Amino acid sequence: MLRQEVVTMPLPPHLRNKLLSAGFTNASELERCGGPVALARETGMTPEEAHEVLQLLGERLPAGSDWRAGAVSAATLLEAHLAAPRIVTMCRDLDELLGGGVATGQVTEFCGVPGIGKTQLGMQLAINVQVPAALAGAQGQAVYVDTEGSFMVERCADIAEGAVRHITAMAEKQAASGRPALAEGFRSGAVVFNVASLLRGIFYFRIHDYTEQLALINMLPRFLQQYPQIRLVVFDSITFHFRQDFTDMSQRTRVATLMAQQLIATAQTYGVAVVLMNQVTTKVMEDGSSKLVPALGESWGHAASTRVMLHWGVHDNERHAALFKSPHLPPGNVAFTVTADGVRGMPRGSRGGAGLANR
Amino acid sequence: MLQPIDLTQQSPLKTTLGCGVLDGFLHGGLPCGIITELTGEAAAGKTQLVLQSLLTVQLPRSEGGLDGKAVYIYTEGKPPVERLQSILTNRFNGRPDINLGNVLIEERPIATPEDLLRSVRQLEALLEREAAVPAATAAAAAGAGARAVEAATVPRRVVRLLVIDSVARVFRDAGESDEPQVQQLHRRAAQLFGLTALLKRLAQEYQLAVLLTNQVMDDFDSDGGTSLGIMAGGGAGSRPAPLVSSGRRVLPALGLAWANCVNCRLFVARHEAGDGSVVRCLQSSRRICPTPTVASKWTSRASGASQTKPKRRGGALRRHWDD
Repeated sequence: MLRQEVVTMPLPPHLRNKLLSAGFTNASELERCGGPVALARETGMTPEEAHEVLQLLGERLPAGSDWRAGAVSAATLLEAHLAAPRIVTMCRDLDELLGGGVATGQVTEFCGVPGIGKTQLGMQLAINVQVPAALAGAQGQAVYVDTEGSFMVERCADIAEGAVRHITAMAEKQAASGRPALAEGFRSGAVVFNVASLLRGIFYFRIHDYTEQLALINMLPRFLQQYPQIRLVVFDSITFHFRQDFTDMSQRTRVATLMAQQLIATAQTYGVAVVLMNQVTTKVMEDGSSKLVPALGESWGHAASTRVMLHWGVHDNERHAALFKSPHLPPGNVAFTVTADGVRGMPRGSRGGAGLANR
Repeated sequence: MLQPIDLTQQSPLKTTLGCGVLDGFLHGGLPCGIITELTGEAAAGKTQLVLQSLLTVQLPRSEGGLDGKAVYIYTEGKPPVERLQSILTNRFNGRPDINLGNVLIEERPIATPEDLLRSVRQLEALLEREAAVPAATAAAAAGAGARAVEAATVPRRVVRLLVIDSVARVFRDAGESDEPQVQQLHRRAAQLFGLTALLKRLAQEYQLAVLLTNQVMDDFDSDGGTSLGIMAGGGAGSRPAPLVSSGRRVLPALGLAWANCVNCRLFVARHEAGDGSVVRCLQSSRRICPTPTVASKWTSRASGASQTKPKRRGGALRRHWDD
């Protein structure tokens, strides 16, 4: 235990960095430094933080952990994964494709041609993350990073209205089947779920160039600490500002890789769903044909653990979502629609789908 | 330090196009703060709409305008000032507040992307200067006469609309011929993204409506566009439904890179009816609202475009949330 290294300790990143910058590399050095006040002085932490670090050393390892604290058993991980809230899209087929909805703690990418509905989906998720826990929602708030100016507040208000109607109807159904708590909560005002509260639950940032984008990603951990009820961060789009300011492609790849690492770490550390909207570009293949591929190049493919391409189908105005990368789900393709109320499944009995009605 | 914007305090500005049906189709008019593209073939009626917008933006807020001035960058030769004057005379006769003095026209020829970028940067300098001048209501001291108060409360006009007609012309000509095709396309894409980022920033900072026109090219692809490169057997992928004008299938020019740049795409189609008359339809192909290809027909007259027969619209009637 005394040989435990600082880098493997389950500390918040900013405390770990302070320890490492001050030259502490393992637990025995921490023990020798002589108490929380001395530690605070050497590292620049507050005495409370130093106390927290030293307390951690003295903590017993939880049952099921391995010889290095910071490793947990796969069983524990699975439990945590199943318990983590998911953010629904309100299209049942799309939610199933994603294994129940967009996962928190991970980075999910949606790419697609202009007009396919990336912004619509982003707005829908920013509303749906706020669904109360009584309806298996994440009951959280959202950060929406708008880099292209596509976010239209009137449209978001329409989607919010559609969600209010939908959720109110579901609460009534619950009440009819013997669980009236949520419906009563709405009636009494104890649970607030209306257009104004939904819009206030979205922290909206407008970004104008890539330096602002990187600055925001750097500041995101502090912001998430300040507002711990945030469960979703949407970047719409992550790509736009990277397609013009870089003449040196290798520099662009380096910056994009760094960005990806920060986003993955932020998602894991704070348990938020990071959703990236990406553009597509045409790539000329060896046989001379052109195909649509996600923008930002091959190396970007490692940023998101789950990747979905939104595309048009064979029939006019038919939208599809194709899952082409996932840690544990098979690839698949479903149809979805965008209505005046937002993202929904295909209507019952329509062509091209299993015909599942809206949930 | 970046700060979030309170969405409940946002009420986006719009400028009327001078026709109730078109305004309704656009949910109030041309939006400020974003880029709207108007695309269509040569005889479809884009210029008519564009010229009209240069005048309607000058209308007071009570009539759907923005009390503003317009900037017109014309890239296809000599700007059609006579046509503009004729619309002014026929439609806004007797209105001193609507005049050509409020339309600033770029007089230098714009032939290359660099010219266009330079012109937009100069516009930025103009907008900065306008914003720096304090509002006319300053120093309306107590005890000033009625006349002084009236003068002080008349708002000073600022630029509210920027029209570039057309963007396609400037970017369509391929560059130097000794550069390989792929590199030319990359360079063009980078220039388009750079121009767009600048325009979007100006649109948002100064609350401008930005209207860009684009040309069309023939759509030879019969199976629905470029296929997907992510999985085997990807079928159609790149567009919702074919755009048709004068009986031909067409695509907006400047390709996929440009399509990623604009926020709202409007397509003006021209159709010849059986009796030889011509009707024009406006479609939205990258939407603000989701109803597919909602179209409204109107005729172009000397007095400008206005409604004839409104076509039945699909989709639910929208309510403005702040009503």
